Amino acid sequence: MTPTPVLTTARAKAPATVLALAVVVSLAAGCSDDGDAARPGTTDPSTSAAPSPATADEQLATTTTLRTVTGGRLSRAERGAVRDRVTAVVDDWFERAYLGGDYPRTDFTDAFDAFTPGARARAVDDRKLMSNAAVGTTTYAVRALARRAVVDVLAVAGRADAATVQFRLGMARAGESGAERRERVSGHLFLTFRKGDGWQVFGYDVQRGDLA
Amino acid sequence: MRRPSRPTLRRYAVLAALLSSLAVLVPDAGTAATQAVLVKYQHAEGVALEDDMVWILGVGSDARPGEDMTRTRGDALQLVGMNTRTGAATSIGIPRDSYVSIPGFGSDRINASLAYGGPQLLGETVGELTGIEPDYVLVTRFPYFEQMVDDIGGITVRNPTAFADDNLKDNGFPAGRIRLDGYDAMAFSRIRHDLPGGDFDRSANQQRVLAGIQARIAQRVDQPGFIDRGVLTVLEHTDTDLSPAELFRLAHVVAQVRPGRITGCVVHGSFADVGGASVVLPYTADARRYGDDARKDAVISRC
Repeated sequence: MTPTPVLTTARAKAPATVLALAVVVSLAAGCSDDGDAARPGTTDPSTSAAPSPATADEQLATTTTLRTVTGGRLSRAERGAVRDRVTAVVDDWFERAYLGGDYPRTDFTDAFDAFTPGARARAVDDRKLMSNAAVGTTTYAVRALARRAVVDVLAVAGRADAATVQFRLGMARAGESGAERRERVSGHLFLTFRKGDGWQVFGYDVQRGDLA
Repeated sequence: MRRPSRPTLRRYAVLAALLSSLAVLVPDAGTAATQAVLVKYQHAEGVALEDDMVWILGVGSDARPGEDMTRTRGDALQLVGMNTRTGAATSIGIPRDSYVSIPGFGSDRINASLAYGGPQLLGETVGELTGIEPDYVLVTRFPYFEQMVDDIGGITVRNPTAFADDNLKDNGFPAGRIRLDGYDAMAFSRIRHDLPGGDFDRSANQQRVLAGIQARIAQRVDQPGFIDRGVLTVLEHTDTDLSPAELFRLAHVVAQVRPGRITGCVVHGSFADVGGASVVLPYTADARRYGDDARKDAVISRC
């Protein structure tokens, strides 16, 4: 079965070229603007209920850069906390949707646990891109090749309210013969913080294709 | 072979081109205090952003400084719907002189309902006319509108007919694809005397301006912090009961509209004299048809 190579975003007229270059550079840099460079994606105990990841990608943590904070100032500790909690949400999705679980795999029902109900319903409709659901039965192993995120935060009155995550996940999926297909999933996640629910994804803009 | 995505992935919501959405998106637009009002319209349905459809009633206000813009007569009315699933958006333009039934106040020009009962009553009145009650009502002063258009770097519109106005734009606007800064966008949206279709054409021009704004925003939405700065501006200049997170979500609804999926119609009508005042008797069947057509998908198949 041949996976869909590329699905484009909804924003056909975005200044994609320049932006893409900037993003590639910033993603490749993989360091934090608050000096806390390349910290692995620390998981928040309250949101880190990811399923057992495949062994290989345990070695590779998500590298997150906090790029901008718009609005009120956040202390260094608060910036680190926001970055870590948002990273935990991203990791939760990476693990449940793509990297974790026992392959061959048919159950992806928890892939979007970190999403709001509305976004979850959309993501289920888009599960071919938003998870490995379409290739789960023909995939025997998955390992992460890249896990990167750049976060822009909206903070009002000293509290982080919303975040935009630009992410890139690279993975190698192995079939029954052991032959690997290298793929990337990239795009944006949009999150808001709500008391009681914590950080949740309410929207996304995702592409999937072969890894060059 | 590459397959165009059916569910080309999108942010949870979508975008449009509307006066109203502008306020949600534009970076810092000046120093004045309250320049706009954005309120939730109270009705029985659930959280709008968990629905596929979001409706915003945009009102351009010519209130003078010091006047409460939610108690003056709105000068421009556009009911904008956005389909968060498909990226479609539509606008139903309502001429301000449309003579309609205003709940609890008899019949009057539709914009009088804002003066009588504020955004809530205006929403009800528009709901009676079109069959669609908005989720949000945004009232914006024109100077703020101008500055916001300037802040996004101006817009481009396709003008079908050359027109001018001695007071607002004496050298006029040529036909064709034209660039508008903030002032010109305001003038383009307000001039009606030189237009063959008068207020109806003006309402259509407002929709062109909204489409231009949408296109410009779509160009800039990927800039880091653009949406965030827009939300901050709204919070600084807008009297709103929405939280920062709600504004952020709504901004992304707007930002996801696909330019190619924007439609719009203006509610036409016949001219009449009521009590010595010149009014428009709107074709209410058309208004209702537009509402029925767009209610579930933000698409009006024909005007």
